[in-house]
Amino acid sequence: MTRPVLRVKDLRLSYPARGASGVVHAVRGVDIQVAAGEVVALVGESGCGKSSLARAILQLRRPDTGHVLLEGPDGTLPLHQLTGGALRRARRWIQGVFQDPYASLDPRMSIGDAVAEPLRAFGLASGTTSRERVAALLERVGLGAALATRFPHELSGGQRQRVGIARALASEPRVVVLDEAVSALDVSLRAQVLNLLLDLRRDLDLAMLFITHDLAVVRALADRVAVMYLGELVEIATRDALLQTPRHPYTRALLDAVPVPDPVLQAARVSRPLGGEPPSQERVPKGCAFASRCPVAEERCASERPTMRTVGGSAVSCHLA
Amino acid sequence: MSALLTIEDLHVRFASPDGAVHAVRGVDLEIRPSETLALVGESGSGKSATALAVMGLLPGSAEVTAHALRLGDQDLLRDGGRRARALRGGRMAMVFQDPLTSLNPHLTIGDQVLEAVEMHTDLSRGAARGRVVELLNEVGVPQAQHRALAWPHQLSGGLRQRALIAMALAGNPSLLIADEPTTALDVTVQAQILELFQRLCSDRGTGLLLITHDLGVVAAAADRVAVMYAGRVVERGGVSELFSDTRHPYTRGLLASIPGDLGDRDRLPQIAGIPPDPLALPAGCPFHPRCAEEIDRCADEEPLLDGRAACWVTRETT
Repeated sequence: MTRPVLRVKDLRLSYPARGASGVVHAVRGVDIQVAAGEVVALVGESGCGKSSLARAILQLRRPDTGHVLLEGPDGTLPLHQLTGGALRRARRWIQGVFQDPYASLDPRMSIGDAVAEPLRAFGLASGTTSRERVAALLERVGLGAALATRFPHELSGGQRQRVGIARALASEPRVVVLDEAVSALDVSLRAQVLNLLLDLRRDLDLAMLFITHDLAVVRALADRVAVMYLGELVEIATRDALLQTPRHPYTRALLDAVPVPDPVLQAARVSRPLGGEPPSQERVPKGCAFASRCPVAEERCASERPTMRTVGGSAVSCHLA
Repeated sequence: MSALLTIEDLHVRFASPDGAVHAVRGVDLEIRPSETLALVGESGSGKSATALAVMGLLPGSAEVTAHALRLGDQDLLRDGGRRARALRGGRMAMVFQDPLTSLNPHLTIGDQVLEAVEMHTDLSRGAARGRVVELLNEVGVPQAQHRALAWPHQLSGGLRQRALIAMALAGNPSLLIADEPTTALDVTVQAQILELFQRLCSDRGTGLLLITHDLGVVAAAADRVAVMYAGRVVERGGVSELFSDTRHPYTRGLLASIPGDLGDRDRLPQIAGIPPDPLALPAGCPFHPRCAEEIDRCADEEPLLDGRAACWVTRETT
């Protein structure tokens, strides 16, 4: 594999619990790397910390400890240490796309101005050059340059999500973090946006960290998959290894829970849905975080914390894998 | 068995500043006791408007007409829809997508279920409180007695959706309408909720109208399926025939665009274009501008549901 453009090392993020004196441990020591042209999918249930991890990587929330290293054109940028102007300049190389395209666009700003904003902010283009770049970006995401004069409310959800992607691409970043970027879209629009992302990966050699709870999307897009549970990664593997030979019991439970669009296969399934709910992030268990819901847990799982190790090419954090 | 819900030639029209929107354009559906009918379609296809028309929940500005709209032998359109309102929450109940916005943040879960129980039964206060715990138990809320005292924000999305289902069951409904009930939930919780629905249908004989855009959910939960596009049912059938012998190009497109194993392809099959503007439906078949199998006739004349599909191509080749 080529040298990773994004390296995240032992990242931790916590914040004060609402209305109490406790602390929510949202991200508990995550290591992850993404190479140029690679799509790494991050999956897990709501509340597992995947959006917190995205925010900590993008420095929208400052991590407690840990490293976020980005390969810029002039060397490695330690995002976790940068502040002020240095951080703003570094943001040119790492951009985010979020779930709700409506909330991330200013309703009073035309689509053209919204896409031009990063060009101006990073001093990349202005005037005619900027307009030409905006037109090219809108074409690139399949919208057509004529849309530049329209406003967010005149667009469909799928179109707005493309605008969000065009805006993220404007500064020619090396890394894009997408947080549930296709979750709000209808089936036919979702396929269109996923195809756009597949094209972009191929044409621009982008590194993408794709956060989703939708395992069907993982199938289509991911090169590698990281599975997160209660603030930690429990398994990292190539897409095919993860889908065909899931090593962690939690990964197996997640895959089992996805309904297959085939009534015959569906009826042949015997697995019972995973019961219960994840433990509180304020009271993280001493042993394996998944032990309380795990169908195969043994005594030591409740007391001894598993660490990441390599099993048949996959990295997995389970005593029994 | 006679039908629980009968819908014949249902139309829903809304006035909008830009003109009249004909959101539902002649829908026929039927649900029998214990049966789950999945109503599938994308945003704006008319699936939610159909459900709201049955429940009598459309705003007064909406115009609802039908040849028949009946729950058992009750005419839901009688007295200008007052009949539907009288049955709502009792013989028929609805569960929505977002459990947090459907719950009152200022009342405990138990008090909200209690309200529903008191509205639909003659139980004493004490007996009604007992019924609340029974209902919470039935929908799988652990430690129901204790959780009844919790506020909505203290519960997970899955538990909130269970609480809403408990409220919907308070009037012992024979028909339950669930609009995207698992869309906001994680897959693991979705599997639990779908299992709960299946149990309610078989144990209580409840008929379920399940509105969803997720064909995986359809395969897991439905007995029969109706696919809607631009206000009409364009394909219907038993769940296995719909998946194994798909008749409408739109349904085929939906099935193909589910991300599956890409294999050697580097792209997902996709349906071109976007759903039509309800203010300006194309002439002929409303799907023809996006259809890969279009023939001459499709642009001129709208096909009606004939057997399983509303499609000229299907009709000429089968």
